[in-house]
Amino acid sequence: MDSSQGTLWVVIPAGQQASGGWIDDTLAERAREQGLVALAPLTGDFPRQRVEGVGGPDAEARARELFIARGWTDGLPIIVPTSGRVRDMVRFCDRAARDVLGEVDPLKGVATVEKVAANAVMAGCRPQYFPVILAAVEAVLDGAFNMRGVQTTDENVAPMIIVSGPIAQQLNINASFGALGPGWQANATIGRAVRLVMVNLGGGRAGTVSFAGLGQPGRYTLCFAENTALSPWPALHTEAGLAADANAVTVTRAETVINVTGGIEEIASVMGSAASGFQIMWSGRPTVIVAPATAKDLANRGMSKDDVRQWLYAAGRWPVADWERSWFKTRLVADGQWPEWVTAAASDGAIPAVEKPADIVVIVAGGDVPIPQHAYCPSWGFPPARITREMRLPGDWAALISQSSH
Amino acid sequence: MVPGHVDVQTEDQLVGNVRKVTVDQVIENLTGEIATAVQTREPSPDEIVFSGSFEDVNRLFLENGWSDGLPIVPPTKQKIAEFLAFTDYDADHVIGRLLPDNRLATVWNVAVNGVMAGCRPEYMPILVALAEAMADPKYGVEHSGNTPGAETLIVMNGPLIRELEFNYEQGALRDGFQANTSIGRFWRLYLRNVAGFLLHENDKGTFGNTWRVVLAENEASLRRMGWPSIAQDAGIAEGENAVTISRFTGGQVIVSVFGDSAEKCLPYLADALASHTTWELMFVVGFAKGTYQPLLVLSPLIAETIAASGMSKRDVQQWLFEHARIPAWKFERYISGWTNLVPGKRSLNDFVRLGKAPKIYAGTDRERLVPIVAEPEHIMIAVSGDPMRSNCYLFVHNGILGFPTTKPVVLPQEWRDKRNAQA
Repeated sequence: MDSSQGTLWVVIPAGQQASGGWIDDTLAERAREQGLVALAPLTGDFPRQRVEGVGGPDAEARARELFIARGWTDGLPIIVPTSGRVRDMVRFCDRAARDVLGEVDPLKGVATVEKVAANAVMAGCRPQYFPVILAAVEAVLDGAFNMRGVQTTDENVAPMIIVSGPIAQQLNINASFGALGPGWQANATIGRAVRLVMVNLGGGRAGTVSFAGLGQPGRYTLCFAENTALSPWPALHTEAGLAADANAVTVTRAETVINVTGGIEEIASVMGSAASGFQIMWSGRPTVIVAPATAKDLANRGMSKDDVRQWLYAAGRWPVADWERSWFKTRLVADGQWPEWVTAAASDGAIPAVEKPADIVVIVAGGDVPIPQHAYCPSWGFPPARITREMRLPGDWAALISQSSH
Repeated sequence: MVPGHVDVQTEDQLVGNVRKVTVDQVIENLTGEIATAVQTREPSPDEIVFSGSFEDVNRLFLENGWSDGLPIVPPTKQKIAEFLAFTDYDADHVIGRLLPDNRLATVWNVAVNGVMAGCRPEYMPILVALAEAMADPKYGVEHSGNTPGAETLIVMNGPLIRELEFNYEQGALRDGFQANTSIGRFWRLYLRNVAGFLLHENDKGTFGNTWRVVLAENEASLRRMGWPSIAQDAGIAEGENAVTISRFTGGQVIVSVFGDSAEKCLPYLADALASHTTWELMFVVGFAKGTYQPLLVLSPLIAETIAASGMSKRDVQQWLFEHARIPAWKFERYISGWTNLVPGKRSLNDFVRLGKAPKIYAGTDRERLVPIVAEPEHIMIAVSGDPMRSNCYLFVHNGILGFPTTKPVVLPQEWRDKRNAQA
């Protein structure tokens, strides 16, 4: 570290608890128990301070390798969170770097604005995404999100981050062709930032603390915007009482993203199946992404979003015979422990995918293609969650954004 | 917690906030999971945590909050060894444990922060004495982050003033002399790095101010008058070196004291004591009875003019005690009318009945004049500053939250040889 020109000043992105301890010490212990030390051999081996100086002829490469060895990545290369890059990120909010958003379960690293910014830099976010990231992190730290459960369950759940409001277009958050696929920096990196926060501040490392059976690609990133231009219905966040021109993040817990090709009938058919089994157990709130062409067709038939929900509620039902012989019914949940609404519906012959129509989160996204592509995202666990947070843009947002590259 | 600040809320707002927020939090804190206390792992004291250029070391220290914003002298092992040579204590000698971070004050970390502050190695005995004073429970270092943001003043006494070239004359409270300046800076760095007082964290001072340079007394003037020094007032023998620390919320210069006798000079000084002491009266009655000890710094010119009238330092303290007085109603207003520092809206007479005020505060006439300190000797008097000016200085005190604490400075064996070796 003798080269003064080459020294990088790197913000430590790891989780420090309110008590002063670092979650990496727990992670190192768990990794030893699980025989996973080789995966990140330098877990816990870093200076316990805010910023570390990394020197040498290629400090940037060395820092990236260190981060991998310390277990601070999702497996993909990261951008080194230098104090300058982190400062640029923090500049895009009106909060102080030390402000605390909350503790990230299960290991309870404190999510300060600066720690979140460091992880956002690592994820490859542009500074102007920061208000979206802060709102998303606030949403997943809401008690209703059940971060502890999401991080440690054996199911494959991931936070689904839905952006609505004019900012989506300003930040080029994809709402159209391939909105859930690769190619758009905002979608790719905002979801990834939230994941890195969960890993580095919450300790959700697979096989060490996180025990999802399979996981899912959505655990790298799962972020898209509402296709406002092609949606015939009011903006998603107005359902949470926000003004139509507000910017918001809505987070749901997606067990997975199931592709549905066809019309609303096909969506209902997938909903009324074992795909909804776990969600029914917990009276959860699934997300239905409706293709623009279908949304237009439904609206032309005079259907509001509530009408669509009502229709899906009525049509998307799990036949009792299937339920009776399901693994859920025969192996997991004893009789008498199903919610009352489920047993009541069972006596009528079929079980709706949700307790009530309002539990279905309906949103329009995707490209306008003649063979409509929808997604059904069943919900994981307890408590029922659909969390909306309004974004807080810095007072000088317009000036900041005009100076930013994108 | 109650959202906002309780002092500026209406009764309805307060009740609403407590019901909506505070009650739930109380229940949660009493019934929720208790976070386990953990000891944070820190580098061992002699671990080399970084090697790099001067600029790099300073950047690292700044980024991690180990510096006050000015460049530090990198605490290399060699520099630390030079400091350690000027004390007979072992490097790992434990001076005490400092709140709020619960770190041990050791001779080693005294040396480290002394190096960083720009001190010279021979200041080491003074730095150790300061750490001892900081760790003394009587001083109350844990209060160093309170909202009034008082700042410690170090008063230096003894032959070291001359030997180490402390400034004690013109500009005595200004930076510019290495001993006064760097030792003052050491105090703040030690509070930061060992005790753990950082702004926006444990240091909640509303405004605060920069560290104060060390105030050295003019001991030649004191000897001419036959007055004891601040250290002697605290029981230190004449000719011994000592430091006295005390936290002061503010300071005010008393300009152009005019008169050729004690009789003419003292009324202005008494008026300054009375008029600059306001909310600090909470340290006289009620909250922390009898702990208020303001410091009056007299220029040698004024001190010697007063002494020439035949007054000892004790006589001056007695005179000021009798004349620096305010009406009882005003006293009550400062502690529980305009402020809510002593809750309950009690009168001074009530406090006497409750045993929370000296008898001198008894009485029912609200216009009666009452003293601003509990005892005459609580008015500390030092002599320093430009010997040919008629200005004086007053520090108002933070009471029990930084109580005056004096420690002798112990020189190492072979001090003289070590000093000669430096020359």
